[in-house]
Amino acid sequence: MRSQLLKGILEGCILSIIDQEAVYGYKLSIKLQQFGLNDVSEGSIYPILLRLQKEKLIEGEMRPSPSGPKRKYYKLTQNGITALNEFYSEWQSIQFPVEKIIQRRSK
Amino acid sequence: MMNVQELIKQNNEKREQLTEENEMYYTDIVVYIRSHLTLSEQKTEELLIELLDHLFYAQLQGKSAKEVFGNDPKGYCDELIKHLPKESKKNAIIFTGFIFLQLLGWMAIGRGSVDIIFGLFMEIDNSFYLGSSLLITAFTITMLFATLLLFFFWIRSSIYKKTSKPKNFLIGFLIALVMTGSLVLMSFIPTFGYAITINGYIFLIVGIILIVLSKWMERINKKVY
Repeated sequence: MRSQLLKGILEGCILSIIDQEAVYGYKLSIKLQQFGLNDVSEGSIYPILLRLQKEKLIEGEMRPSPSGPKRKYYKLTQNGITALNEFYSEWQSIQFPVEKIIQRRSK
Repeated sequence: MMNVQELIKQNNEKREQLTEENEMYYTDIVVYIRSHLTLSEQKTEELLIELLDHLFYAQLQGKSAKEVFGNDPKGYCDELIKHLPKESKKNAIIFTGFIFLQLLGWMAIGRGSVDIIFGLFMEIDNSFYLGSSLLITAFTITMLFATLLLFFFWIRSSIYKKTSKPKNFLIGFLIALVMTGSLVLMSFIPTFGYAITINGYIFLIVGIILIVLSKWMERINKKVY
């Protein structure tokens, strides 16, 4: 997960997951893996989460988890929702053309 | 909201549940990141707990810290540090003020106690020179601050650099030497300035007031979060 492209996409995916449900760090990494992003090393989500907080796209809140100890749950801010919508539209505008180009190459 | 002290306490307790290998890897992260004094203490501790929680669950799945955080812990930490918010100016000032008052307070208590105890056996000079005594105090505090910073800087640079033990020891020794040397040097400063007489008990009382004041500042510091 080194290239800029992957970084941006990963960021979009993280925003999208947080949008669906407030999550804490470990849960987020599990979800990414469940969706098949196995190559993302688990720890690499934390610098991204910090950056997203710095850019005020998400905010963290320490609150009790169902199993007891307090955990930091993340949710989107208003800016985060805007950024996520931008990501959706950008992704939709490139996904189809990119797939077509790649398919032609593999033929 | 949990305050820094609670987070640190929780961190220490939880860390004991790690395997030895994971504990070593994680503790290096903790010391390295904490040694960056300009970072927001609250955000730093929240992050460290997050990483610890994560590592703990990963460990239950049979994963090692290396698998979770990668083979380049220093690079990983630097990446985290880059994105951690800085301590607010207000907190930084309160924190510096706290250390300053503590140092000043303990110095006054030290001088007061020495004067009182020695005063029992001999005639002592109770004069306080507004010139030289204040200069020495300012110099001592500057030295202590510098040593503190140097110490943190040394810790930071020694964690992920596999310097040999003797070299590490030498650097520590040099820091101590400079510190002691400058203290010795100070005793050669001639007395100057207007002399006032301050009784040992007054030093003691002033010292105690300063310490209480610093505790009060620490309180505010906690409330800021």
